[in-house]
Amino acid sequence: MNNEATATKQMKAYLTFKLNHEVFALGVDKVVEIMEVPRVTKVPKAPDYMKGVINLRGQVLPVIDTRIKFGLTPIELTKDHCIIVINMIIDEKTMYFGALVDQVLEVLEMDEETMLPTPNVNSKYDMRFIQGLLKEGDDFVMVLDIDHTFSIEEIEAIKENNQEQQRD
Amino acid sequence: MSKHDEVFREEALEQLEIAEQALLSFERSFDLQDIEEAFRSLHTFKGAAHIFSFKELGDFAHLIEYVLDGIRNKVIHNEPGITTKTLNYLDHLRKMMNESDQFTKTKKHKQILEEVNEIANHVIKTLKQNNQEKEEALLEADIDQEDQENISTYYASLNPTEPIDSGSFHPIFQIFEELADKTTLEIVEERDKNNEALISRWDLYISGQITKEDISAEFLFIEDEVTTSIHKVANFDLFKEMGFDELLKVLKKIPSEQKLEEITQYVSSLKDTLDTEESKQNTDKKQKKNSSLRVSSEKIDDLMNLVSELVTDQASLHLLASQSNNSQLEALAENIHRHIQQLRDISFDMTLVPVERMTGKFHRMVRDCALAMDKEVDFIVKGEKTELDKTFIETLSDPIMHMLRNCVDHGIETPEERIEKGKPVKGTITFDAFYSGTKVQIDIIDDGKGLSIPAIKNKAIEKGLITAEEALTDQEVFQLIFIPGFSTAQNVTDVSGRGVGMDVVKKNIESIHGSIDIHSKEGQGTTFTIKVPLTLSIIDGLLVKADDTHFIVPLAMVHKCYEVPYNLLANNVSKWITVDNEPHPFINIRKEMTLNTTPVPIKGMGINIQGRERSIILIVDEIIGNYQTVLKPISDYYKDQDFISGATILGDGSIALVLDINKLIEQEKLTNMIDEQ
Repeated sequence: MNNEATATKQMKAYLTFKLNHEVFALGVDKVVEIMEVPRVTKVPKAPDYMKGVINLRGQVLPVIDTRIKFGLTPIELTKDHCIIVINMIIDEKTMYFGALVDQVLEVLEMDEETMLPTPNVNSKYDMRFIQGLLKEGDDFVMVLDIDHTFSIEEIEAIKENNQEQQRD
Repeated sequence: MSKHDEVFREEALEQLEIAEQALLSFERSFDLQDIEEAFRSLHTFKGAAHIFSFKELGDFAHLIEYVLDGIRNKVIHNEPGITTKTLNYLDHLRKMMNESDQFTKTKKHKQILEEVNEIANHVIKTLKQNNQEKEEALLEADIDQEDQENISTYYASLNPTEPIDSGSFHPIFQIFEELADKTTLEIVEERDKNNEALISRWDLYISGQITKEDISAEFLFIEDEVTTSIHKVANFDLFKEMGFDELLKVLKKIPSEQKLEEITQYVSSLKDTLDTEESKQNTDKKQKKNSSLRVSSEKIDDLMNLVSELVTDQASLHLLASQSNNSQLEALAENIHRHIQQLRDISFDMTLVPVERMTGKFHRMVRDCALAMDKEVDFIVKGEKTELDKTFIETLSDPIMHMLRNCVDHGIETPEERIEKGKPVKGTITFDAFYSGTKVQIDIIDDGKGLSIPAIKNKAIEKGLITAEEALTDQEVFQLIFIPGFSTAQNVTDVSGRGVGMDVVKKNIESIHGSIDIHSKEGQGTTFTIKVPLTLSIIDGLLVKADDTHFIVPLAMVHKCYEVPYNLLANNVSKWITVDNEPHPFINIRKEMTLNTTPVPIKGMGINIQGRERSIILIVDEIIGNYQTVLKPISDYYKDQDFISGATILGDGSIALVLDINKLIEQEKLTNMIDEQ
């Protein structure tokens, strides 16, 4: 994409967060805000990873449990947990949702060129959602492909998986 | 397209719409006022087109103006199908706006342009001729080409020195005849008391482009025999005024001396009303200038959103104030509550538009459709001032178009068939919109052949939608036509019957939480009843709680509430519960939604809810009360949970889920069916 080509020379900001002791990152341009976890109203008969809805200053925001999304155990809420409010454009419609994560860390300024391609090593995470790796010191940070990860289709897909698992 | 083009488009399309309506109205009433109206709006269109340098549009509109001018001046008004032609030109104009520049180079465009040009030239020529003739005629009559406004009204009393025999050839009768040729003349004779044949006095009421001197000159020759006194009573035509006929009757009865005074009083009273009428018109105009304002719909939407926020905030404030034990704060909260309510009502009102917004094109469509099918149809619109949320109008417009098309195509019979059946030759389709509680109901009624239950059934069996053995009520049979892919038309016409449609109609109507029902009697006609809520963004709800979750049930659907012990349900396998000595199916929200974080209380509440197809008892833990529910969308992530139609934010900031009862009942029905299997 052209945009990315021109943006390569520029620094890009990433928000890093923790999921199950592992560090992930996503582009800050998609992040609206970070908030503590308020009271979550569960929507009945919805799949597990759809944690429920919260009141974000008068708007009803769906919250997704990112850990279940990545095939990990569900989050047991503590005060460290955070919701990253993300906006995403799907079919020309702006969608807002909250991603529930274990802990928000910091904002990294990185040259996009330093992003490494996703290695083809087997991993405990679903690599389809990883855009690439960033090297921060000795550690690697996995950059999420937001559009892919939280698209409705993708959400539908997990649901089917879950249902299959339940049947198994 | 630039911003200016968009401004032009909006305005231009509106003007075309007005012109079209006026023409359609003209076609029905032959009232030339309508042509004037069409002319005016086309003129506005032309002006706008030239300002935005759409020369071709402006020029074409200019040509259509000539056509209208021709109708208005009765040059081509009798030409068959002239309104249809003019309507086509308007359509063409619209097409020119929508299509690319290349459109004007097409053959079709050239054809139409030629046709209009021809008519325009014909009109111009004839009008010119007419004008010349008129001028000549005026010259011949030797009347100054004075303004029509120069008409005055006179009162003249003639007293002959000797009573004149009404049967004689006295020159005065000749004078009367001459006067009557030039003016509007009313003569009142007063007979002699002793001899009925003799006239002792005349009262003349004269109005026309004539001076006092002219009148007295007429009587010059009989000056000796008749005393005349002439008074100018008004500098306009009294004969055209309201109540003048009545005045004349009064004048006959009162003594001669009082007549003049009586007339003067009448005239001065007229002047008062004229003045007030005029000033009223002026103020009306002024008010009109202020009364309408073009605002983009996004701004209205933003405003509505903000108002919704305010309503939510107000609920929080109310809660906080009532907990504070601070009477001043409570009073303030109360005030704010009142103001927000008013604000809400006003902003709601702004989003409402009368249904006449959409009925305009219905007129056109029904007319065109009927013409195409060689049918005669009267389309009657009632309640066009009924107001609906503007987005609903947009959503409903297409489905109703489709239904009307069906009415003309399949409903109304051909004139021959109708005569055979002893019905009026002209079919009638009625569009009737009215308020019904918190809903707006729209009836579409035709007096056509009605729905044939056996035909629908056969078709459904043929399509495998039902089996031949299935016993269906009439209502259930009618509902079949809403199933996708169902169409009973024997032949597919270009007007309707493509087999898509009624299912889409139903879907569209349901998308705004509306419903559609059919009543039909074979041979007598069909009635479609559409019900839609007034608005969707704020509804009156009943706030209830089950387990730790709050739900909102639309209050309009709530029929009655009962106290229901939960243990009554525990051993109940039948899914029926008896209240008011009658068994009702019930849905236990706790069980249905698998809510089990808190223990089941001893007493629950049963809410009797009238669903679309049947009523049910909804079992919850607790009824909290009425709640002004600001509906919020609940995101596409929850699109499978469609028994939740949205969410709302409560005073304490937590969220309540708004239940879509009909969906819930449907689902319940499905699971029951599965259970039974």
